Amino acid sequence: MNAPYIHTNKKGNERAKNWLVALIPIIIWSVYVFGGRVISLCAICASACVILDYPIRRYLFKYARGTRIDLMAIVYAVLATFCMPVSVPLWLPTVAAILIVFAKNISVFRPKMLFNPYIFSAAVLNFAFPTQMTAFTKPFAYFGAFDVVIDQRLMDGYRVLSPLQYIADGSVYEDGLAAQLYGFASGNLGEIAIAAIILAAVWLWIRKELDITATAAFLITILVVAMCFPSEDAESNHYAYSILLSGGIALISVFALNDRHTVPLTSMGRLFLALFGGAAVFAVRKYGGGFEWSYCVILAINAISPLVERVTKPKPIVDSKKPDKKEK
Amino acid sequence: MILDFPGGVCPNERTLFSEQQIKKIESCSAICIKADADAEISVEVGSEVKRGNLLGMSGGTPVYASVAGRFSGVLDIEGEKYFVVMNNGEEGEERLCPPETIAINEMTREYIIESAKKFAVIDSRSGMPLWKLIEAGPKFRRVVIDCTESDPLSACNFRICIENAKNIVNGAKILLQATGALKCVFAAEHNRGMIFDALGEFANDKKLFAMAPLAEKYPYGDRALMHALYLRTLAKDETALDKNVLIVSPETALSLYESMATGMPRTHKLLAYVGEGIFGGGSLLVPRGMTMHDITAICGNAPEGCLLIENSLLCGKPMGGVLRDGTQAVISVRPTEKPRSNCISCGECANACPVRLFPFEALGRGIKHLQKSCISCGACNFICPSGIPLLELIWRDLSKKEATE
Repeated sequence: MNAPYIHTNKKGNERAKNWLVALIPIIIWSVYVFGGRVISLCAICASACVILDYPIRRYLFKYARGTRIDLMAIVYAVLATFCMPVSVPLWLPTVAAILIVFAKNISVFRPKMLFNPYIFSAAVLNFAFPTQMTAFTKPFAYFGAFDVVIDQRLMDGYRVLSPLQYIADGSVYEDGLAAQLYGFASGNLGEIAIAAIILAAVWLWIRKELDITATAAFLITILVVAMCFPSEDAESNHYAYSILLSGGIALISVFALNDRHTVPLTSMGRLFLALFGGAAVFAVRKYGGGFEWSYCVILAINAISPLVERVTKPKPIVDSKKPDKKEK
Repeated sequence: MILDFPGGVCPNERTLFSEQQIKKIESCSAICIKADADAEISVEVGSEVKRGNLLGMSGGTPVYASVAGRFSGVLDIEGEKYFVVMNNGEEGEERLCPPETIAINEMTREYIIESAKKFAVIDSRSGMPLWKLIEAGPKFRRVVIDCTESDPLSACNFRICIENAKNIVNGAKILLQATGALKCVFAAEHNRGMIFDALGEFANDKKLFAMAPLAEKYPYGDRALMHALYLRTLAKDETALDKNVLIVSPETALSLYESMATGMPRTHKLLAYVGEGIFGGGSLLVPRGMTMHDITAICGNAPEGCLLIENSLLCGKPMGGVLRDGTQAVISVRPTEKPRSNCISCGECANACPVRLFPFEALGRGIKHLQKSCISCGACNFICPSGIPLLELIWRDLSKKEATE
């Protein structure tokens, strides 16, 4: 038995629990706006993640033997579901779960992950299933919670464009900024619930899980750059706010930029990537059409994180004693 | 202002015996004082000695009997040599010389070094003879009296400062005189403010003395103190002496003053005997070289399943059979293995590291850079919520080598 002989009472899954608590208001809001189908999608994705993740960690990787269910798998599953529209078929969350487990466990920079699992899943699904992933419907159009695939004719009656697609078309979202802020806009399940995301951010900040500097830097960079480079025929402030409130920017700024598995542990590194990420997100939004390219920006940030962490890592404040000049 | 150092952790345990006065223990069956390989004896083996009698020399420092009894010679115990005296229960003691009459400000450096050597004043913080510490630095800038505890469960430095404030301040004045340092700093955890009140009453000359309230974090050592007090960093093999700062415990200052004032060498040492299941412990004044067998017989043994750890639960080692000069605390603890799970990249280990390493990197392959700087303080291991034995991982190749050898 070696020192230390005592250990902190903190447990490994405490962080995941904090994140799960932070997700609750977003789920509630999403259920209120999109109905019980949200629960079905989340439950399928989460259970598939746990079923796939547990045996992989238990039997494939020696370092994880004897561990219990990793609650972060559930967190990533719920976050991945938040990046889907309510109309997706019920088998799609299972595909998302496979992608999450893949990204979570195939890690080059262990214990770090190469890519944020939920962002990886969202990005791949957007590329692989563009029709299903962009079939946005009106808020409060409740579909059947257990319908594997929603009837196309039924869905066509409720189909609308998302605020991001409006911006890409060069027009303004017709329900206005307030609808976006309060979470009454069309879009992906969790991404529309801006007010609930703010609530989640406050909770995470209280629990010391949120780097407020990085999150604020990311959002402010997008806002400032959008104000500086507005769309040709748009009023600059309105355009900037629309960019900020549309798509998954709020969700990314809180959950992707604060997932320490995939961002640098140094605050300087996180700040640098937040500034870079903010500018890059605006650039891809402006020139990338209606596609949610911000997922790809986050994946790029994740990929360069180990390098940024290495560069911004503080020097150890102890080193071998320098030889005395006289001794030389 | 609370002075802080990078990293460090604050275990939840708090001291149990801070209200209890220091208890003096006289009775013991034998004392074993560590001797060097070239130790010389000054009395015949088998002869009767009184407390304070010279037994011999070890490393150039005299060794005095801390109890009266029969001198058994220098014996080999578990591969190490010890001066052994079997206690006969008598109470006699012998003074070395008459009490000092010279005023402190008239004492010279050489005179104080000679006195520290003559009275065998040992720094209980480092276990080194005080005269060697003073001689090591020709130009001291500061003297620091380190009143921090080696572990949050211990309260012996707190008690000694409260109960002997005047003599500790006098000892500090002698140390200032010996080292030629400009200022003496009393450093203690900020939540033990009573220390500053007690010492401040006598150390009221602000040009000579300063009080330094420190953050309640552990482990405190030369490195942490130097950073907290002077924002100076130490190389891995450096000590505060290399930066011309003398750091000693309050007991050392007290020993120096009391030995010179009474003419009697310090034969007792301060010890915190605390922890799980120790009900008769607390802050103790025990004969130098007392065996753990005697201590447990008087103050109670640790319950079954508990270990006795020396000095600190964060980075201490299991206690041997005899009190060493550097033993400040013996703590009973029931060691617990935290179930290990995956690294959650929380960065707590990096925050707790006093030398700003990223200990979680030990989970990867490259550990050489960690070994180069790691000071094995155990803070990363303590704080890891996933129960990953980071310290073991950092030094894993050395453990393998030791096993194969």
